[in-house]
Amino acid sequence: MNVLRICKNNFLRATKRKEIFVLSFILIPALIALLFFILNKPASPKPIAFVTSSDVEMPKIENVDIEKINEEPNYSDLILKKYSAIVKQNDDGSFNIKTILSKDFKNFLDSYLNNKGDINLNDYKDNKRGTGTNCIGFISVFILSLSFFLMDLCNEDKSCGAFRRILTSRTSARGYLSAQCLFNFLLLFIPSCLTVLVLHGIFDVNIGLPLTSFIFILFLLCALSSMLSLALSSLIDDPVSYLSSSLSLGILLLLFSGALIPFNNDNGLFDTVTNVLPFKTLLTLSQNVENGNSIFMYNGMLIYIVLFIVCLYFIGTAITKKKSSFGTY
Amino acid sequence: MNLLKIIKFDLSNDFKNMSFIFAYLITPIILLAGISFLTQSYYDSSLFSSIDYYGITMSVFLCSMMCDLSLNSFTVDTVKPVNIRVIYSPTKKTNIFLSKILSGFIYGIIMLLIFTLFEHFILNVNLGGANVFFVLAINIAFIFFSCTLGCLLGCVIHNGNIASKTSSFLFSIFAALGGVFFPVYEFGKTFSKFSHLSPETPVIKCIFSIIYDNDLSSFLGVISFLIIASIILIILCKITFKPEEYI
Repeated sequence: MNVLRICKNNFLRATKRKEIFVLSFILIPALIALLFFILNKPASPKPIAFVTSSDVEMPKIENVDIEKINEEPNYSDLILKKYSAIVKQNDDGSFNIKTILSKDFKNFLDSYLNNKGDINLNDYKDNKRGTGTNCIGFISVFILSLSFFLMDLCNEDKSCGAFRRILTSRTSARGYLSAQCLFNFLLLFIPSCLTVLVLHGIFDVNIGLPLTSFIFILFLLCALSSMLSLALSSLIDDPVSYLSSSLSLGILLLLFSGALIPFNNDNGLFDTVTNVLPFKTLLTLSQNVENGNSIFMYNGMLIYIVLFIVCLYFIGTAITKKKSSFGTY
Repeated sequence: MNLLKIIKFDLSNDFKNMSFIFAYLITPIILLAGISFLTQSYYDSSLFSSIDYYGITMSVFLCSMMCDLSLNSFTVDTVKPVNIRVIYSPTKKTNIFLSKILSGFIYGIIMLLIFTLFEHFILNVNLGGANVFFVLAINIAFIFFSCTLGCLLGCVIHNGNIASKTSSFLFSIFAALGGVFFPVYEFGKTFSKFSHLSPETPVIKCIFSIIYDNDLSSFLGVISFLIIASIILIILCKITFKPEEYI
């Protein structure tokens, strides 16, 4: 009962601080909708610039736009990825290719245009992730940042003495922290879940994964974010330094889990170290589900994530209890 | 002069705070190392590697973070008693916010120089050879612009918490749109039109054209835009600044 009372108190506090509702109920749905809109477009490679003043045509490549221009574009256009390659035809009929992208891409173009090597057209495929996994990767940035903002309420309580008063009442520290986690989780899960339901049900947007799997993965993501913010807030008490350090740490964690930039499993040691991160397990799980398998085939990953959630909760509550027994509050 | 005294005081406060060094120097270095390591397979490293791209964009990102610094020296709660003493002393109204801008500017220049030296000598990022002074000049002008923008946000939004959250959110959006984390045309021509909203886009484009195309034609345009915009923001600060709101 006290847990629900503290939750209700947090909601009442949030009505006075409108930015909390604006961030959860307006910004997150808008960002999710924008993400689905951007990532649902077919990912075609950037156009290739073909520099010629005559009517010569470059051989067509499947799914690649070829722009014919008169003047050679600047090298910085390649860097900004306006064009993926600049192709000029030499006097002897062969093509001169200038690109800064990977050697595989250059070899593919070379073999296709100048008939060197045996690379098949269909062999060159970008190692792209599915739409749903990409969306979950980007959504996790917003959800993690928002969970840190929301857990700020807990640190404010600690700094202004409200936490001390709550500890002297019948509510235990664990009860109070559970209430904060519940509030955090509800404000993360409900808007994002509703957005996905509306986008899929009414606007028929392709979310990549089956709806129930997507909602389940979103549930795990929100739970993981709120527990991580709980654990960090129990370590860092000062509200200002909590926010700045937890945001940087969160972004770094997501970066090395491959949420923002997908990376291949090439480097053994790096992969072993990053495989510990639960966000990476979550993204691997969602990619596997997107490839067509059922979510319950990967019980090991599910158990790992749930275990992490439970451990973070116990770490957060244990540290806070220890600090309160030392008299920090 | 009062202004110099307040600037000296603000600067000494900034240097004493170790978390600033973590936030404004170590974070860009870690981001640079992390993102360029993850994206190195996308680029052909003999011609142009990911560290060349992210070395430039992370230094622009560092310059944009100075907005937070000048905002925090205005509105954070720990400097409230100090601000009260300064406001009631015989100091001109202008000197109060101008000192925050100038102390943030000087601190930003020092951080930028340390970061540039680190990039040049340890990471071997291509900074343009003889044109490196033009690149530094644009970055320094951008630091000044971010400090004035941070100050204006502090003058308009009086609550420290909301102002710092707004500024960090705003500058993250500017950085994402402007080409700091991924190239501007990565998501296609339609999405790249949003990059015009960000002040970092012309800066990044100009720096790349100076380094790789040896093209200084946009240099004067970008620098004059940044300086004129900063002067307009300072005038707006003067109009909107009310010392009584910070007590």
